[in-house]
Amino acid sequence: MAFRLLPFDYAARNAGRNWLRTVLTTGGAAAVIFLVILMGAFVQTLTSSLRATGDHNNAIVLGKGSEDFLEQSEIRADVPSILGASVESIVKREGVAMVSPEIVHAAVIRQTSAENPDTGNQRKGLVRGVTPMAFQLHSQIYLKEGKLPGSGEAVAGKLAATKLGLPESALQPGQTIFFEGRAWTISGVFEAPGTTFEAELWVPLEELKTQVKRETISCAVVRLKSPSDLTALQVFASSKLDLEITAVSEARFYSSLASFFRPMQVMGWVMAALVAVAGLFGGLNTLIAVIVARGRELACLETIGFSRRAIIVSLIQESLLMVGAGALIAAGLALLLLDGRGIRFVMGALSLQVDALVLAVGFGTALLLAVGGTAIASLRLIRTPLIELLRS
Amino acid sequence: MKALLMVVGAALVFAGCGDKKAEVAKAPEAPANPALAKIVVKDPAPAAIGVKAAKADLKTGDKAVVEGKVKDFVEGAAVITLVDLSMKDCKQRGEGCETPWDYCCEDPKAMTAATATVQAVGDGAAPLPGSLKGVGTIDHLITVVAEGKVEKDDSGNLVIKASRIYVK
Repeated sequence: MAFRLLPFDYAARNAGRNWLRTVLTTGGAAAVIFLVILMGAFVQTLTSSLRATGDHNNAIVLGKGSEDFLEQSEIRADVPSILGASVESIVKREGVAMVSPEIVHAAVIRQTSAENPDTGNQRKGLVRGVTPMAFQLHSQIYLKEGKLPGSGEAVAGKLAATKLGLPESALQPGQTIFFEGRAWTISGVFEAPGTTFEAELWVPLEELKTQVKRETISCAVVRLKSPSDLTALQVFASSKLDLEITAVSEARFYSSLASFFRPMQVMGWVMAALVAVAGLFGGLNTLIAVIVARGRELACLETIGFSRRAIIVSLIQESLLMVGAGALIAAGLALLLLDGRGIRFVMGALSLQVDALVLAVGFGTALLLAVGGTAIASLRLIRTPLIELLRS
Repeated sequence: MKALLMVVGAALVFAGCGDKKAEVAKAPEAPANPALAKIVVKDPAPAAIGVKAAKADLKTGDKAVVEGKVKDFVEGAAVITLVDLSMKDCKQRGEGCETPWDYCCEDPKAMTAATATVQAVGDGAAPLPGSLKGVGTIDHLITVVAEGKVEKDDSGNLVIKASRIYVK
């Protein structure tokens, strides 16, 4: 007997025959797929943000032995000028070597000046002491509004408020915050899409140095003529042992931080898989019940000449229609509600990105739910003799 | 059902850990430069002085034969740092350290005074391209003797422009 498929209309009309079932199935699938997209977006954003933070032409010169954590790194304050004068592979703009001395400091930030015992007024944030060179060297950064920080001023990353758990209005130009024993007026807001810089507050280097009473800096970021010039910088660092410095590619530095968060990423994908598997098993109950309830109808189709394979294909088409609609709803909601939304995490804040890969995972899950679920539920149908189905 | 979910979760977690292990094992190394094989030899080494003595006694332009243990490599250039044999690495101290060649148990100032840089330059002046790691079995904490000319700066940093490196 030739393999003849049921018309697609049959599956489409069946999907619309029982509206309650269709709405529940579509809604359930949408919920599962939305959760999978949420977990996928978190993991994907975490990875891509750390990677995007590093520029392949930049290198970070930091303290030997502190290669993994900028906050712990200390180098002499004269290292940037030594680098600028000695390393020829550093780019010079208008005769000035592109070297950015920076202090990366974890600070307790308050909205009010009084020592408020309320822990809600104390928020941990990342403050970076910089010179104007930092804004030229970190090419991802641009000032969205306001101006660069002057004396007693700070510029806030777009996600700094999210990181600190404050409303966005608290870090708008003109607002005041308090840390390290003094008030800082917000002079502007910067954006650096897809990077971890966006969760930071940037202040003038010398003022932060004074406030935190340190003579050293955390690191010097340099712009190299080409990524391969990193070797020349490393050779220089290895020949100046008294400086106790080491040089790493900025891109590699932030990528290695991504591997530090790998357990969190794995857990994210495990959660997404668990949600998908739970959705599959939850949906199986419904699908089996539906197929059992329609046993006589399916038997009739077989009686008039359609093979069981063709009937199962039609059932899969029907599921694909409902779950596919759920996937579209989930993807639409994800783009509307999740994409670009700031979320806090241990190292700062991230702007969730619902990208093509994450959506593909969502639609892949939809395919798994529809095809896998229906195929498993149909096993019972395959095993039941025609005569029994007709009597059901 | 719960058991199934736990199995799936555990499998994914272990799969993740396994990947990391594989990454560590496949850490990229710069391809060996054939010119380095001529500089790094296993011949009997000539009489050498320690790194501390070299830093104290030698000046720019002197010919040096200096012995020490390999500390760090520069990826992409034939450069290593040599530590005086009197300094104890973490392995010698019996510490369960994964990177005993970082001498993290020693005082950093004392380490700076007992460390010199060796640049394999051959007949030229600049370090040759390619890492020295793995050339003639050179690895961390291997004892080598570097023979070459000295460059010393005002801060006391000593660089040996090596024409020959003997692996002991």
